Amino acid sequence: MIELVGLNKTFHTAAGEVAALKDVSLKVDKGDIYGVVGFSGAGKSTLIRCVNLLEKPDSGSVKIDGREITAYGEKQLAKEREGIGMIFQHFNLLRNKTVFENVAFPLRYARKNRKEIEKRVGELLELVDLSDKTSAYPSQLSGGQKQRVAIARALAMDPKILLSDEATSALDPQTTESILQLLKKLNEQLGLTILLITHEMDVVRRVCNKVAVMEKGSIVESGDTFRLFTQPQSDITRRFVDSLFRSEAVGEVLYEPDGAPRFQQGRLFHLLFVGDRATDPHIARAIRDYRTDISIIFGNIEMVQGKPIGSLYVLIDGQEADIDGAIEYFRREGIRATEIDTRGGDDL
Amino acid sequence: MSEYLSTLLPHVITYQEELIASIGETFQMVLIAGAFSVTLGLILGTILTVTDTGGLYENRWVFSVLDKIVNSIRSMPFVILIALLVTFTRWLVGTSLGIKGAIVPMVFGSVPFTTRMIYQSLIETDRGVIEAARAMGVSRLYIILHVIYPESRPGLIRALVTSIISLIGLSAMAGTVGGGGLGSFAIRYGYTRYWQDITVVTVIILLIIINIIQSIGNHLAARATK
Repeated sequence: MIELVGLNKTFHTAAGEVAALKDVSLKVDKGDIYGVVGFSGAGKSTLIRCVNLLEKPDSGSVKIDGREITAYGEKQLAKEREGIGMIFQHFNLLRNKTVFENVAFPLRYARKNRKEIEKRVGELLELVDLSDKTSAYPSQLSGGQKQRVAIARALAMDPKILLSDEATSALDPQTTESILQLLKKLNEQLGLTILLITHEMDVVRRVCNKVAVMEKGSIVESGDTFRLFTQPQSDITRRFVDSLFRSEAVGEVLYEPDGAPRFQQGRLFHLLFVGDRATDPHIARAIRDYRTDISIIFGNIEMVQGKPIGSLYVLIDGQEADIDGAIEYFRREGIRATEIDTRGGDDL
Repeated sequence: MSEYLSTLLPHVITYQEELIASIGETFQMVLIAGAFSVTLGLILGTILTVTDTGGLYENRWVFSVLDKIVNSIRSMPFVILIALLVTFTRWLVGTSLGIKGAIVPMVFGSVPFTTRMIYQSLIETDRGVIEAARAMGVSRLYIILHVIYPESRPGLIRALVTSIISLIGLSAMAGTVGGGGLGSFAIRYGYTRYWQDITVVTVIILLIIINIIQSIGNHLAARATK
């Protein structure tokens, strides 16, 4: 559906050259909700803008449905863009136009007649659950409602692809959830292929079936979301995955308010249990078979693509050899165990 | 009542017909010059906006040349501009005197100002909205007409009002060098003959006109802001 090959893009700024994209390739199949995750400045925005050529790559190929669009002229490109909807972090609605007029905007440009426009806008507003806001102005809407209007507008020309540029980053968690559910619904009901960029791993976890991790203009890792969550290969991916399980509570349990460690003995580990592993009595076995004391500091379970991933922060005390043995045992069982340095203190 | 008025404002009463005619002339000058200057200002302001960095038709060269021309004319004192334009004005409208003669320098004097005001309100248009329209495959001309202009409506109304008010000022100044209107009236009788009542009444009339225009403008701008 979308195929990016060897994209390069360098910005020439007053501060010098910034390589936003370095040999980036990405393939999004029909029906995917593909997430690109990265910290700000990783090049995600530039990447998504290359898909509809809002940003022209210096080199590389952009194929939509097999059509190479980088060489297209203005008219051809405009036609191609009609098939690619886009939504934005700041919604980008026309302030001086009503909800109806905002959604009607691309239809008016396409010179649809009045009846068609009324019918189509009605359908779209129903789809995004905003039928009662037809004549409101954007300033009268909440953030989530604005994004719904933007989604309706992006879908007006019946695109096959939707690009989402940090569409939930300006929204609170509940609203984020409802917008993500809407995107998922559109994906399932309309067969819409979605490419979204975000800096929140939580967004990826909730809706994406595939994900690519970007750092400094390159894609460092990509693939199936569940696999990436459970078997991250690179440091940056690990950091993103951990960001999902990290909790302030862990720090509070480990340290006194003045910063002194609360536990003088034992080593702290972060254990990740995947799928059916979560139900086996691993902790009990580690305590019994390796003569260690294990205290559970903090734990939670996140669903990734409908499958559970359990996270436990545990403090293991005992003979060094026994602790190592227990960790060995966990790793043999497919549990990801990472030691956390409690003396340094600033990791949490 | 009329006796009282004729003691208080002797010359105003005597020349009242001429005063009323002057008000008419001022309106005529301001409206004609305003129509030209707003049209030209909108065209030039739009060109500046779209050729500016990151604009729809980004063009450093066009932008900086136009920008420099606009700034140079803007920084020229209006009286000097009138003098400078005498030959051109005669060639264009046949005379450098009267209403006709005043309108040409008035347009020149106000276009750079109007252009700058319009540019400033157009350039405020949220880049994101323009980008969204581009992402929909909308043509650049359509974006100018259906995104940039409507989004800038409050700012454009304010620019229009400010430039009309500045034209009233320019019309008074054009009056001093042979143009018509209230300015010329006040100079001829109020200043040269030192009939203070005429000067005072002219000032009051100008204040009233300017305030009415400003209020209407504020009201329209507020209504256009959603």
